[in-house]
Amino acid sequence: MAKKVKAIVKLHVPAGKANPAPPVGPALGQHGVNIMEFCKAFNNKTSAQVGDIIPVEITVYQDGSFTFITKTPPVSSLLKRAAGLEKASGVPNKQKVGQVTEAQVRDIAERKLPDLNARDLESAIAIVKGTAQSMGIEVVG
Amino acid sequence: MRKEDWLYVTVRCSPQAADAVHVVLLERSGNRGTVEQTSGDALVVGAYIPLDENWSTRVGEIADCLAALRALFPDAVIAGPAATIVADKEWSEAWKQEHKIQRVGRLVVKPTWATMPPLGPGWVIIDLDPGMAFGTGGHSSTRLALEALQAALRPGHVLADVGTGTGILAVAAALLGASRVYAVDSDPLAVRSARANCRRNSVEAVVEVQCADFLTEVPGDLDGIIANISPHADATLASVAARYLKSEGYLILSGFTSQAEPELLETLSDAGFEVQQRFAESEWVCLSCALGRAL
Repeated sequence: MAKKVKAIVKLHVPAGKANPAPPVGPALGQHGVNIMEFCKAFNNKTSAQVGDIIPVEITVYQDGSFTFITKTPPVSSLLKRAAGLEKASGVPNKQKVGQVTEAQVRDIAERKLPDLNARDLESAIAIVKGTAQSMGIEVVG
Repeated sequence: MRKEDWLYVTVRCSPQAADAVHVVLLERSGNRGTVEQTSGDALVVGAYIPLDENWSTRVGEIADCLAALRALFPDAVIAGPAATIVADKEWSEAWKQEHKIQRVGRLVVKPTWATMPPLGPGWVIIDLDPGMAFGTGGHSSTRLALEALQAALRPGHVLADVGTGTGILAVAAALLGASRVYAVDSDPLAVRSARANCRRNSVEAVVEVQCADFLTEVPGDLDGIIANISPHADATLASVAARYLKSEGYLILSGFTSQAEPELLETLSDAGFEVQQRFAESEWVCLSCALGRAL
């Protein structure tokens, strides 16, 4: 694309809930992005995924026009959903706040395999388990 | 500090710890969302916390959570939290300050919210709000195309604007006296934007906005074709443009840098075009071409 790129902004935003408040407003406003137009387009695109966190990459051109791509939710968001959790543990090494099964871990690893920089499914599963541990989620058989 | 201001809290971390850091910052900033930037081999994850009575508790919690993560990711860098104060703004309006009124020749491109003193006769004003679609007058290639258009266009001309985006070139052509403009884009979002901008500038009777590829839906016998797209798309257009133009018609190509110019010049030459005028701004180039006499 022969347009001069002014900035690439990466955000994690709750699906269907982008609004002009921080972080969207300051992160995009400084580059002249029409905030309401971004919020409407993002919310429209992600309305079916409410409850998930969506990584979004916004490419801003020299004249303030922009495009964006949304990605699959991060492992942490998928784990919360699988465990039915609102919030991760603040002290994951001491306090466990939820559980997921080995099968759920495998599902998440399969879904996220292309994004995880993992050699194979087994190493992707290890990454998912590491994230679960960091959130105070136990993996049970 | 004012109570309604924000604390922008950042954590520098290795990629393997990034997801866990996002969770910590997300949950302690009211689940508003997080920002991720690349910094060398590491990432900087940030979140905005309201500067209310709980801000120090939240930052303390973040520090505690990060300490727990360091124990779980002994090989990872997890540095921070660092924090800066960000003044609150009307964010839905603040972005507008980044857009200035643009002047190109006798054309003035202005956002609808901008006010300006009355201009003398001869000026042509385009009202256009920036959005997703490309072409707000803030990009060099758009300004060059507007300059070339003013040099080539005569009242009564029939034109096609290929890859119209916001419709800025088509609207300019109509306001400069074209009798008919076919504004084409393959992106439905651009088509909606172009139609809205035509209505805003009262040229919808002159400009026909089409959702199509190149010139497939455009009649021939045009006085001019203009495109501000990309080297590849410009080359594709150049190779088919001649059959849609009158013998004395012109082709204006923009949207490429001097690096892509030699290859495009070759394509133009093969298609029977001669460059009449070259416009340049920093590395961006726009060529105004006519059909050679040999054809």
